[in-house]
Amino acid sequence: MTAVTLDDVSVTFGAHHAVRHVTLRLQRSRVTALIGPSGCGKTTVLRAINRMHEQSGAIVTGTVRLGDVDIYGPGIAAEHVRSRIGMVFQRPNPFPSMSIFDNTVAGLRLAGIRNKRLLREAAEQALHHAALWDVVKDRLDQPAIRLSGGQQQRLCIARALAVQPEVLLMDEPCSALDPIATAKVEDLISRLVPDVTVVLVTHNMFQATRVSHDVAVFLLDEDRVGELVEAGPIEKVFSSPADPRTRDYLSGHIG
Amino acid sequence: MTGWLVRPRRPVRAYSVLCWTAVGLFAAVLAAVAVTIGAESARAWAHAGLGFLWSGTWNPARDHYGGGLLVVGTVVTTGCAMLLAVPIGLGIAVYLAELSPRWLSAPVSAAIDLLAAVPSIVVGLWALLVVSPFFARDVEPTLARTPGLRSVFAGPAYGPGILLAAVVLTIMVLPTVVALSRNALQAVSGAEREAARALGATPWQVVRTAVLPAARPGIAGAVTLAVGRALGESIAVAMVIGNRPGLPRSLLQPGATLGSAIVNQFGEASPGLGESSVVALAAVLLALTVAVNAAGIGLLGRGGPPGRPAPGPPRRLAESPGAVGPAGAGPTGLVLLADPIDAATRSLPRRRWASRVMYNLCAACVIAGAAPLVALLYYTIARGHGALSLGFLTQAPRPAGIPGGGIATAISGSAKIVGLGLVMAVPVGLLSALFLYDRRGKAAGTIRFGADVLTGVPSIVLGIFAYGVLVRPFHHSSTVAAGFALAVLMVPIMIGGNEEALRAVPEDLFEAGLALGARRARVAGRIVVREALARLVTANLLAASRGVGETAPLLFTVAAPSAALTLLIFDRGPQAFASAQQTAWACALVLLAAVLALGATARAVAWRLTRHQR
Ligand SMILES: Nc1ncnc2c1ncn2[C@@H]1O[C@H](COP(=O)(O)OP(=O)(O)O)[C@@H](O)[C@H]1O
Ligand SMILES: [Mg+2]
Repeated sequence: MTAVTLDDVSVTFGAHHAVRHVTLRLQRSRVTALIGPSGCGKTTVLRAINRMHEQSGAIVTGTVRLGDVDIYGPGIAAEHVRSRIGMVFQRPNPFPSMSIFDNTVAGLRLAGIRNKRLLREAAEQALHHAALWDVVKDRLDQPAIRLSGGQQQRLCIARALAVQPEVLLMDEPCSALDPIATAKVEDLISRLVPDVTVVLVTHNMFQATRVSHDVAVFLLDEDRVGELVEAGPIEKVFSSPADPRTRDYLSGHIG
Repeated sequence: MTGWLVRPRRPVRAYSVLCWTAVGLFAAVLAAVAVTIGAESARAWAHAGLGFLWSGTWNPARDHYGGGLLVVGTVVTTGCAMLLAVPIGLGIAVYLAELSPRWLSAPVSAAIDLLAAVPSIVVGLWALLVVSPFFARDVEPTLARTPGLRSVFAGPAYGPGILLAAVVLTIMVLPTVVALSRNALQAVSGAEREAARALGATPWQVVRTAVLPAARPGIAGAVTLAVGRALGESIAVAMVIGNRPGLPRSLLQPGATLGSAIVNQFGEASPGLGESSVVALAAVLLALTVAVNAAGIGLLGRGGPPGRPAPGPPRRLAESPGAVGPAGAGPTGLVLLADPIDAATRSLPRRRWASRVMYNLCAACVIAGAAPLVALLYYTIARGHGALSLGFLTQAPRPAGIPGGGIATAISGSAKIVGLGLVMAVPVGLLSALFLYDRRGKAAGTIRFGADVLTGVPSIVLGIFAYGVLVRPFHHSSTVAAGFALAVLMVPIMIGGNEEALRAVPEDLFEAGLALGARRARVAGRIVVREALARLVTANLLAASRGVGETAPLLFTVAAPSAALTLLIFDRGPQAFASAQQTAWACALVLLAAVLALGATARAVAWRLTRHQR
């Protein structure tokens, strides 16, 4: 079952092509890792999936479908897309002026949910889900920025999960964390499925092997524009890549 | 190029001595302002005691002096102005920082900067001759008829009054509110905006959830500094408030503020107790504005560097969630009572509508803020240009009411005063900034704070200060005293701007100089100043443009109105003769042109610099 389909997606910043002709299916209830050298357009592709480019002046062509709905189609609101496709960023970005609790339910409040009991239950569930409940249950009203970096990132994951998205986009969620915090977040990611479909950008092959089921390899082509080289189940791609460029890239990184 | 490295030590010491002298001078002036105002008002305090603060009678004939009604008038006028300026200014700032298309925000920001440069005397003239009749004829009767507002806007519609003064103050402080809160909004990191957007927030929800809370300390600081400015504005208010102290029962009624009363009373006050009582008004005004400005500076300082807002208290407290048992599912499987996606979808039309409404409101604020500027420029040009001719610019003024004559003495007088002020202020400003550049200790902190506070001291107070130290002791007004008053006004602005300019020079350049074996002072004095030259010029030109437009410091230091442009406007504007008003408009146009030319030159220098650096 396909959760998200990218069909011939290209993204340009002004005259600059960041990535082009990406055609990719993201399987439901699986973790798909996007890997590749830096600058090859992984973040750019990720942000095309929930229309986060709209403010940065990038132009997205091709189609992106959630289920069978074209998310760039007429009458589809970007806000709507984003509440169904959540996102976690490279650096933890809890709202500094809000408490842990308020951060967790920020998305729900934005959606107009005011019922206190509902918010409380949703917060508790999301924090459980993000393996953070036991850490924060006694200090939900403290500012979120008092948490450690790893806890902040898990809070951001809880915040995204509270809205109950179908898809969760994660852009190198561990790159700002220490090894122990990284292990916790990785553990959490593998337990997110089957409830959520996860798309994970990482530059760490081992992380990809540890947590993901599928992988999509991006490289820079001759014009230094990002392109998708190969995609498929991770065991297959990593053990017998079909494309020689994938083999070269992987041999450089896994040995 | 390297010759200076091997020069003997003497010039280095001379440099240090110069810097210390400049800072010492500045500190002395700072102290002298406080001491002079205190000493000159001592007689009044001794006479009336603290009762001066609340007694409402001001009766020179019976030696009864009390500033209570004036304090009330000041607070009421400022309060009304803030009721207008804060929402409009915030709306403009939000529009510029968050909502406007990029191509639009740069020109609108520039126009706001322009408004900030318009001298208050020009705003006062325009308000008196254009806005006041319009208010008296159309606006005020309408307000007085509107149900619900009737009690606040009762009484005859004069034109001049508290309402008009509040409107003038709004125009004066709007640029402060806009510029500083825009900075605060822009300092909020993009990460928080993205977080909100990724949760499905509409553009307005991004502002409300992620941006405004993080920018709150900065916005509070902006508003506080604007309050300080409004409290101290005297000339423009004196022109439009009607100058009749009284308990305000209606906003249409004439009033008086501390600043307007000083303007009106000081010239007529009898030497001794009378004069001292007016200075006591200045002392009250000084204390008020210093307190407010210090608070504003503190708030802005606590805003923290961009991207790391101060950890304020959490916005809302969770009610002890322990009361509810773990809901249904454990660490896996989300089972919720309501489907949030459904809620998000259902509420989306309403949220987008709200977002659009807020967008339009903010855009309306921009129009509300820009309209006065356009009108003011239009009237100044339309009414001023008719009088301008070569003869007008080169002939001396004739007495009011007698047609003919020109404004030659006013132009040359203004130029002389400002030139003299610059001669005094520029070296002190530059050397003090150099002193601050390389120091982080307590002394530097105090000087910096002193400069920030002095920047907010009302110019009318500085006028009284210059009168006290340079006019009264010598028994006559002088260009030197006026230039000194302007210098005191410009120095703190220059110190702030210069230090910023010096700090904009990359640190590694400073270190490169040190690595060549030069002394710190030497590197700062030679390498950093050279690199920062363009920015320094910009900072000083902007300070000069502030000085050119000032009226209050000249009021008690210059003998005749015909000796300065701003004074001539203040003298001729309120007169009934068409020829007098025409002279005022012409002066306003010349003044505006000079101020704008200085500002434009400053920005052109800055612009060329940044282009060169790119
Ligand atoms: N906001 C932007 N403006 C212009 N170019 C951008 C922007 N963001 C990314 N790019 C360009 O797009 C390309 C891909 O960047 P990115 O998607 O961030 O790569 P990755 O995440 O794989 O490291 C790069 O060449 C980068 O310069
Ligand atoms: Mg990236």
